[in-house]
Amino acid sequence: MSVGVLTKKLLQAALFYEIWDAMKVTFKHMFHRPITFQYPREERTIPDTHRGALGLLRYDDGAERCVGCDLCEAACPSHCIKVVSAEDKSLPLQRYASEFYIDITKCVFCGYCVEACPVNALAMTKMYEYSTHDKRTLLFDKKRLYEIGERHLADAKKYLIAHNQEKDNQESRDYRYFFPQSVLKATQPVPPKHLT
Amino acid sequence: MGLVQIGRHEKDGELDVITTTLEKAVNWARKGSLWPMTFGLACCAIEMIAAVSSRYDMDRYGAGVFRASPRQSDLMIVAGTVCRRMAPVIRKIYDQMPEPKYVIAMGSCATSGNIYDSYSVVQGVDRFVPVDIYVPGCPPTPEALFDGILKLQERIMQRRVFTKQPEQVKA
Repeated sequence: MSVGVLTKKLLQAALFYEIWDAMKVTFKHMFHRPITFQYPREERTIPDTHRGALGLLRYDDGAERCVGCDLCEAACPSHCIKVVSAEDKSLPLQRYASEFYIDITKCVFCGYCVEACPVNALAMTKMYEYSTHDKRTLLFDKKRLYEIGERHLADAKKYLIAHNQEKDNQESRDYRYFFPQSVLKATQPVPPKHLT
Repeated sequence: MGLVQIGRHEKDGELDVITTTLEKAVNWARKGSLWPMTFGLACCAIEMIAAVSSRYDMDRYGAGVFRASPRQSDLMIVAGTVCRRMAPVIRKIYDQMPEPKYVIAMGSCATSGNIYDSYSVVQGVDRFVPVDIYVPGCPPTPEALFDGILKLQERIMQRRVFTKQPEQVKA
C-alpha cells in the first residue's frame, strides 16, 4: 500500500467519511416532498379496470338487464352467487332474476361473473369502503346490488368497456392502455361521514 | 375510583357530567392508541404491510405500532386464510391480549373462508374469536383497511367504560 492511499484512508477514518456518505441519503430525504397519502381527506384516482364491489345494472329506460340465466353462478369459483330466476308473464320467453344474492364475504373479485354475463348486467365498481361490524350486511341482495349499480353507474360502464365487455373499439383501446398519471385527486369537498 | 362510583347510575342509564367527560377522555385515548398485533397469515398481510409503510401511513390513526407480543397490543388484525391448525393459536393469542381488545377480520378469507370451502380451512375467524369489524375485499386495499380502522375507532367512542353498556351498542 502506497503512502498516498494510506493517508487518504487515515483522513477518511478521522473525518468519519463513510458515516457521512451514508447519512447523505437520510439528509436527502429530509427535503423530499412528503409522499404520504392522506386517506380520508384525499381520494385516489382508481383505474377503470379496478375490480371493486359488484353491482347490477339497468338499461337506460330503467328495465333490468338481468335475464336470470344463472351463468354467473356457474362461473363463480367460490360459489358466492345465488340466482333464482322467474318467468315474466307479460312478455313471451322473457325471464328475470326474482332473487339475486352475492355473498361478498366469499367473493374473490375475479370478474368471471362479469365475463360470463351475456347481457352485461353485472359489472364491477370502484366501491371498496364497505367494512362493517355486522357480517349479515355483506350478503348483498338484489335491491342492494341495484342500488350499488345505480350509484356507480358511470364506473360500472367504464369497467365494462375497459374489459372489452361492451364493444367500443377505440374507447376500449384507450382504456386498455390508460393508467392515471397522477394518482391523487383533488381534496374532497366534505370529509366522509364517519370522520365528523 | 370513588369518583367513578358516584357517577354510576345503572338503573336509568343516565350519566354524570364527570363520568361522561371521563369516559370520552378514556375512549379518546383508547381510540388514538390502537396498537395492533402482527398477525399476517397470507396475501392480506402484504396489504397490511403496505398500509403501515410510508405511503399509506397507518401511524396517522395511532394504529401503526405493530407489536410482536399479544401482551402489548389492543387490536388483532387477522389478515389471511385461517387454517384449522392455526385456529387454536389465534384463540390463545386473543386470550393473552389485555382488555380492552378488538379484532378486525381483514379480507374474505378471515371473514368467511372465501374460496377455500375445505376441511382444513376455518370458515370465518368469527367462529372462535369475537370480531368487531369485517373488512371485505380479496385482498382489501390499504384504504379499505383504514376504513375498517376508522369505523372501529367510531365504535370505540360509543363504548361505555364506567357504566353499563346500552343494549344497542353491544358488540
